[in-house]
Amino acid sequence: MSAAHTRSDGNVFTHLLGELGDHHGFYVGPYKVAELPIILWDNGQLHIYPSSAAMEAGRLYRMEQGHPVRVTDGQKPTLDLSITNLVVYQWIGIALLGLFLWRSLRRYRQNPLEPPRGLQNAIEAIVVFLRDEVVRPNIGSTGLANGLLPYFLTLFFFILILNLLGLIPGGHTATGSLAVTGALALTAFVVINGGAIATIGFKKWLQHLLGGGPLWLSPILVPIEIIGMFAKAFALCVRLFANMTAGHIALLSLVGLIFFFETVLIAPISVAFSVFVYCLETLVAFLQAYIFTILTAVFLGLASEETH
Amino acid sequence: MPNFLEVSPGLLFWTLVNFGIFLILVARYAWKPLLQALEQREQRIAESLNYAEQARREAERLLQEAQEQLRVAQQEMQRLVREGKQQAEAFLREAAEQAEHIKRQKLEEAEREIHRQLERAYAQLYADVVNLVLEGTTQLLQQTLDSTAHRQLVESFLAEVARHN
Repeated sequence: MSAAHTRSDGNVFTHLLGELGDHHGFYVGPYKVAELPIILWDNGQLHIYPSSAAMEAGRLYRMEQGHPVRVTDGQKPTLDLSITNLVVYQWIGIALLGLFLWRSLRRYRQNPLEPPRGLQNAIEAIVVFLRDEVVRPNIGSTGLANGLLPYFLTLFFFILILNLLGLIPGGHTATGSLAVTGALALTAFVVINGGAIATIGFKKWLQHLLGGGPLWLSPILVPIEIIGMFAKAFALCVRLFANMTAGHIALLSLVGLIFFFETVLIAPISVAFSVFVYCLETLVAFLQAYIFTILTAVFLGLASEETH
Repeated sequence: MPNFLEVSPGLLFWTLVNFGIFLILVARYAWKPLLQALEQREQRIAESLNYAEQARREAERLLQEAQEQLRVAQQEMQRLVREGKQQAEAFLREAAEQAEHIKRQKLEEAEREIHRQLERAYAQLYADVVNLVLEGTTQLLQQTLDSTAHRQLVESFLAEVARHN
């Protein structure tokens, strides 16, 4: 870790945690590999710079603690839409997935009736599992299940590849950011409620807000149901973020022990536990992708039930 | 607040964009053909299983038919063999009987013929002897003997001889 040699400032852990966040620039491990464009929306104006150096040269904004701020008042711009490290990791994930899918799809085009092989088999096994065990059993309506199947498949593979990218040494975990999981939870929120309205109609969807209770309980139940609606999406967001971050923090803590005790003797213990946590994280990478997907399907199934 | 707990609206925006575009692309170009191929293959497998089941039933039926036919054919064959044997035996028996019959007939005929020839020979002999004797006797006893009385005498003598024969 880059922060290792800055032990002298007495706060290794804060530095290590900083590695988990998003950065301006493309990082592999602690090393900045490439500059990324900075896009700022400020006071009704769009500012685009090819790199942070170019931005500083523009003399309107400067970097402060990794974020662009106005030179004039030191405040953050209205909206920072920069291409950041984690955006690039999403692109890498998308490119990898695209490559895998393209490679396995070639075989489907050539001979769709052949038994699957290799990578195609792995992808197909997951697709069939998601279709038959996750989406179809939880979503009552067959039409809705088939229509939303591409969404669930994409969701699962997107989360999985981002989780796994974070486990490759040097890789950064996009799903370990609340903004990324928040965006995914937002799509889940839209799918859950949109799917429910499409299936049972707006009126029945509103009736769900009563929670099936009598009308006089509605002052209590309606707020609870509305909160529940958002809580589900919020829980999805936080669960994925926390799971992906927790493993990393555990790893950082174990490595941090070496510096904390300032002895190499702790290293074997740190390494042994790190390997264990790393294996656990691999499991969690798959598990959380699965949990996010199945919970979205379950919530959609619950929301689109005819009777509560 | 630590860096990693920040919710950057920019990252949220880009994630939505990335995920959205990716979703549209893979839904159109990956999941659609993949799911179609899966359905197609599943349908094909179901059909194949169905077909195999039908073929198995058909084969079983054919086997039963063949076995039935074989059984019938064996029975028929056994019947034919038995009948053939019976016919052959009957034929043999008949042939033997006929042969026996013919043999007996021929023997009887031969015996009768022999008897006939013998009798004729005897009669001839008898007549010849009588004539000879008569001639001789006539010549010898032309004058003295009444031919009829002597003929009777000689005949009785010859009859005596024949009986003793």
